[in-house]
Amino acid sequence: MKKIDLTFLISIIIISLSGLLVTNLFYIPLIIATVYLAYYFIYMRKKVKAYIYRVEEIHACYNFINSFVISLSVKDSYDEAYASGLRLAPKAMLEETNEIENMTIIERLKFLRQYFNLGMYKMFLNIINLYQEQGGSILNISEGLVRECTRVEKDLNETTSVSKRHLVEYIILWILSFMIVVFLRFALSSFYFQMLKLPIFVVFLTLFYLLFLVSSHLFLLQFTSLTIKEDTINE
Amino acid sequence: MNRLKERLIRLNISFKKELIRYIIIVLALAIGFTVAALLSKMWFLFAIMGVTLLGFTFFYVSRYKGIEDKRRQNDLLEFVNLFAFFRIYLKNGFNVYVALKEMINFANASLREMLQKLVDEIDEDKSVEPFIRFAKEFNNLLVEEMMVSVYQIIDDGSDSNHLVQFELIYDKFSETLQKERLNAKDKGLANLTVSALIGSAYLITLVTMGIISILGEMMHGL
Repeated sequence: MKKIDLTFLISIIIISLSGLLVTNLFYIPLIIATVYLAYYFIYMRKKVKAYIYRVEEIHACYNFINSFVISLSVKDSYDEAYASGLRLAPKAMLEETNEIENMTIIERLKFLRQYFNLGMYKMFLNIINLYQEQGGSILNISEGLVRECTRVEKDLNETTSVSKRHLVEYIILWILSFMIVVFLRFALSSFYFQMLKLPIFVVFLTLFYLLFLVSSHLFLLQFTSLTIKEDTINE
Repeated sequence: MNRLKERLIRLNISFKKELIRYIIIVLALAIGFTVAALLSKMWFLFAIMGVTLLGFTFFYVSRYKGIEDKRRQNDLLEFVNLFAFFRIYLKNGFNVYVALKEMINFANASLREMLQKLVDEIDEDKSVEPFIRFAKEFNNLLVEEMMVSVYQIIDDGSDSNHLVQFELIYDKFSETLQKERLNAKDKGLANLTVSALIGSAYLITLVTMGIISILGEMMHGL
């Protein structure tokens, strides 16, 4: 999150400085920076953080279930299956699991529900329960679940790939837009400074920054919506 | 008006509250524009006010359809989610009734209620009717097809061809839904990318207007 914060802060500073460059008024970049920073810290940051957490959680859950099931079927050991499940786990999850090392594997699996707030993980626990009661082949019992996890993972990958592609396009096009205004300021400098004497021109110029903020907000909403189902556990 | 009221009832939104909210916003906009027009003596602001109020009314009323569509879409997604678990239960030897009951634990509030109703109705009525009634809530033919195949599994047991049929319909449904959602997201993001072009057009228009007005002033001064 630190990297993302830094990227956004630098972007806000650059955008505010462009405001100074195109309006020649010191208070316009201050207004822009205040509004943008308020938006980022009050709303955007939380939204981005929740999105990153959710995506990471789904990937981690998929990896955990897959590795656990395959390892259990091959080695027939809960300990080794659990260790195998954690091999690709994110840092935050590993930190949590370090605190529960004194528990049995089944207790640890149940504890991980706090981390994996997903329906597929709850189903995984049901399957492990079924396997303990009835025995048989874990691969057969969990075949449907593994297939479902794979489908979710595939859908998530497709969604994030589409989002990333459009994000790059979006950033490039807006950079070009900002470059147009800066270019006009230098290319038509004599006209431009005359125009800046008109208050209405400055107001409309500032509205451009508002348009960018509104557009970014709508883009954020669309970007962070996942096309896969939000299968939160209902306790 | 009646259609709007019916829609609000379906969405569980109070018509009275919505009307009050709408009136407050319209009054605030109207007062704001009137004050601005009177103070600045720019009478064209009244025309802008008219257009803004019309646009706002259109947006305010039409957003209910969006809310309803989104809710329906979410219910469909939840349905796909749940029936993935239903399939897992059937594969592991549970019968349809127990699998449906187990699914209640996985469902969200709106589907939990619908599933509970379905399970209760199956207790009373052993025909296909409860399944059809459940499917009708989603207003989707593939859901109906799926629910009929679920009923047929009850008739023939979980080893029947109907289980295979159910799985085929489920896979097709789930794939179609994901494709639709992905296309909608792709289209939505592409539309927003265009906003950068709108921004550029806005700037160019603004500067052009500025230059024209300055040239006008210069010519007027000659």
